[in-house]
Amino acid sequence: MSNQRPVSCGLDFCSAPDLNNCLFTANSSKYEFICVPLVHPLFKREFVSGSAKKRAGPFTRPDIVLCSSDWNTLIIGKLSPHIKADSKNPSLKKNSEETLKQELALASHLGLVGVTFKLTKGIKENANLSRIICDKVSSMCSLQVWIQVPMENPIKQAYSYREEDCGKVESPWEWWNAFRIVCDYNRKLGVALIVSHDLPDQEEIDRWLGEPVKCLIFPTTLFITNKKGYPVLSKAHQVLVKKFAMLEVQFVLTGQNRYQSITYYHNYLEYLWKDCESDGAVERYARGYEDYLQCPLQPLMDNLESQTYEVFEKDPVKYSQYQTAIYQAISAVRSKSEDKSRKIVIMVVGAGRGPLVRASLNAAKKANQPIKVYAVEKNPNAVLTLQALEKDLWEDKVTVVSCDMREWNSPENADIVVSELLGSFGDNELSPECLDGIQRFVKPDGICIPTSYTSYIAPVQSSKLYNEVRQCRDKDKHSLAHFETSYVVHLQNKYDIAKPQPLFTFKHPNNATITDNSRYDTKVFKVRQNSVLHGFSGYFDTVLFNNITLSIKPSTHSPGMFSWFPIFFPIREPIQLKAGDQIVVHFWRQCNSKNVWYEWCISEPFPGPIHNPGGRSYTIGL
Amino acid sequence: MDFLTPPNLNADVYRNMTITDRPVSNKHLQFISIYNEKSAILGGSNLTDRYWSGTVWYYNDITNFDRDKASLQIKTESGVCDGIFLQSDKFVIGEDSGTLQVFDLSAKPSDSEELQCAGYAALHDNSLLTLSAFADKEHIVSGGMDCCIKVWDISELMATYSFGFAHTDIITCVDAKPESDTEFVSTSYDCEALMWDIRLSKPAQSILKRDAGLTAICWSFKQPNIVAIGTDDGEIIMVDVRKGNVNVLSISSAFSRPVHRLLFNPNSGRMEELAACCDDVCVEVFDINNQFSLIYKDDRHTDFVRDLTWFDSHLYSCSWDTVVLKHTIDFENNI
Repeated sequence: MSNQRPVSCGLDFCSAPDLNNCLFTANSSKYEFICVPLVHPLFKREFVSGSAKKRAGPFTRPDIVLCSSDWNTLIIGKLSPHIKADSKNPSLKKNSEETLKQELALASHLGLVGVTFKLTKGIKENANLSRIICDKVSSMCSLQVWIQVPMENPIKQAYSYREEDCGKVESPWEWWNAFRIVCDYNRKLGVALIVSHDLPDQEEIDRWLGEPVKCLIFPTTLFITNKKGYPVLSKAHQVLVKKFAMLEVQFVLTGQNRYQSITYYHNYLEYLWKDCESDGAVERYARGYEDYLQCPLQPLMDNLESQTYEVFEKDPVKYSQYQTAIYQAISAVRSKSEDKSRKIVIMVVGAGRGPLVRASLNAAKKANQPIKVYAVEKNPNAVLTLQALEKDLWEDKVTVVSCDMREWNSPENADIVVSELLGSFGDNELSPECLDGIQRFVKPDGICIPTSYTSYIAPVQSSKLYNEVRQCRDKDKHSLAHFETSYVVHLQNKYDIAKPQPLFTFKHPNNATITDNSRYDTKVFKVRQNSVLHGFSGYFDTVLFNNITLSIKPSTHSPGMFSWFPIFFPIREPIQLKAGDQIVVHFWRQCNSKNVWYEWCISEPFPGPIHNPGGRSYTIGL
Repeated sequence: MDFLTPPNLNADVYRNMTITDRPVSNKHLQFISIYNEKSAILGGSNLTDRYWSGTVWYYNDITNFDRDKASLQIKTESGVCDGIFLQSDKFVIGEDSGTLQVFDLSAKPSDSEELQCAGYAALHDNSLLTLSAFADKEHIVSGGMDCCIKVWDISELMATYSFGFAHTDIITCVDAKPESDTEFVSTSYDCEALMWDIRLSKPAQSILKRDAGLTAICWSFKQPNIVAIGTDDGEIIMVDVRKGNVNVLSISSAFSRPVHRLLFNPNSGRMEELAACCDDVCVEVFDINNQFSLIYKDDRHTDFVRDLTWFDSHLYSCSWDTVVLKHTIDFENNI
């Protein structure tokens, strides 16, 4: 299962004198596909007037030079470089439009995976081009468009040859951003990022990680020669490759071959790719789930399936942390207790198939402390498991209670209540409400594990997730329901606009006279550079007991733990952010007698509508 | 009886043909250059054929440019974009593949001549579109679709200077300053024209910025500080490029199509004549001293005119229609 996708590297040809030969060259040097012009790059066509309009003969080579499976899988078509669809010269504009349409139609005819062209300017000079591209990708055809964008604005280098200064330089990301907005974030548009010699600052590179980057283009001039005489990349470029290896990027090599064989470049890129292979338990577990939206579990309303329990039980970190926490809690209870021989009462509420029961028994054994465990579980099918374990393994140390913890009348009060009711956003699987239900059976100085938990949110840019959410539309629900639902997702293709901030905290035992689990808070995030807000990523951390914690917040993530993916709260419309802007977001946790739900809205930089008002799109059932 | 192709196997038969099975015509003439009456080159590419290869024809007589009248020819793997003479028996070409090739005319023992590749260098990372030789004929400047300008030492076949991203878009034209070994000008789709002097640490200087792509540039032979620049808007702009005093002298709307080539008449008596062609069939000559008046116009070509060259008071043009035309510009009655 650990088989990561092998490297996929294409070879770019500036001219393709003999197409079969190009394919042969690429193939025999291990390149998986080629980028070639569909029409000779110098062959301008006249569609408007004059003698050249009547030019006879073909405008390019015929489809039958290759069989269609080759066209379908091995060729990315390059659009002609002389296309100036936004020229002020009416005839040039018209000719460019027609040329573009002709080449796009040809690409469709050939059944290519995609076409590509270079973006060299901002939307002011590309509005008409983006309209035509948008028109094409909005049609039924499956053609992808890879837009080549340089990482660094080439104007910097151009001005390095001149006396004067180039002044403030626009990031090419702005060109791309505006282009795809005009194309309404169409998912068939992807970025082919041209890796530059000088890399932009870290933050700017990270912003690309939130874009649908389909491939990295490496000019051969980027490579340096190592001691053995082979092409390699600088340290900084290696780091870049590693960052992008997380996404499903492909590589394209462009430019003259400067070594004995063009295979050398491929060999090196392949080596780098393999080196990026992260093969930890977490990566293995998460593979295939990258940016895949899942609806959060509702274990309170729905009973979990056997398979789900099994997946959770595989986590090597979570239960050992619990066991340590229980051990320390036992020690704490004992130190305060006068009767040292008294059995400490531990309630495992939501015992599932018993991992926390086992953790409790282990902790007691390590502490050499007699205990009595109540294993409370509402899922009758999981109770079967508990009963079997009770009978054959645990015997009289454990009492299995088949009951919802909120309805259970305990015969005695607990010293320690252990639960694992946390979701990706901490309280989103209704841990507060469940534990309130058992509160009355906790001794006044009793301990709850977890003791507290806090949710975190952070603004995030990810056009991939935005598109995934857009696709989720459900006929049976409110027309905006998919934008007002939270999703559990293994976030990969994203840029963190700002660091996560703590949102809601719950503490247990909750000894307040009136329990109120509704919450409201406002968070302010500073925008460091121009970017696009697509929603908020959510995380949590929890103190199990003392300093024993679990966390899925990136900066403090428990090493090796894979039980939770982050949560994602989308927003209806992407918001264009400027460096220095403030994002002010409001989050509510609302409750009534039947449901709990979140509402959220943004008030800065632009006020926006409340998402999920009254829980109209999604609620968590009590 | 001949073997008949089964009707459903067209594609297979075609696909399995090799380059040697079929005639290659190289009909799209790309450049023409005349050194003297006994030495001229003509370059052509196949832009629409199955194979995008090129041919350079060498003529030792300029009265007839029919391909079968060429004294020698060489095939190139990719198409040819530009070609210039260094000496009567030595010339350089730039190819679609970015390769620069130097050819020598060498006499064989049997008194016949042959064209020999004296060297090549593949350093441009995209098609090499434009070439120009400095006065010493030892150094040349080249530009291409890779946005890079290179200055070459031909004897070593080394790029002594390489200006990556000299412009931010395709470099459409370079022209070395007459009688200079270090100065040249360049144009690009990026809407800017630059003047370069490789002796300087900051070699480039902007001489024109427009809201249209710049597509052609050439120096005046008469006034060493004047250049003519063509735009993709069809305009021809005269610019005085004197340091510290760069200014536009005139702008004329010459064509409705992008200008492709501009070339002053080197003939000492008629240096005010500027020949021009665009993405169209016409060849025009303007008198820059006389309010840019049109003094010659010819539209006998039936496809885009791709190159122009002056020789001995005549103008020659070549076109994608496979034809080379000789134009005689007569002051009095041409229009």
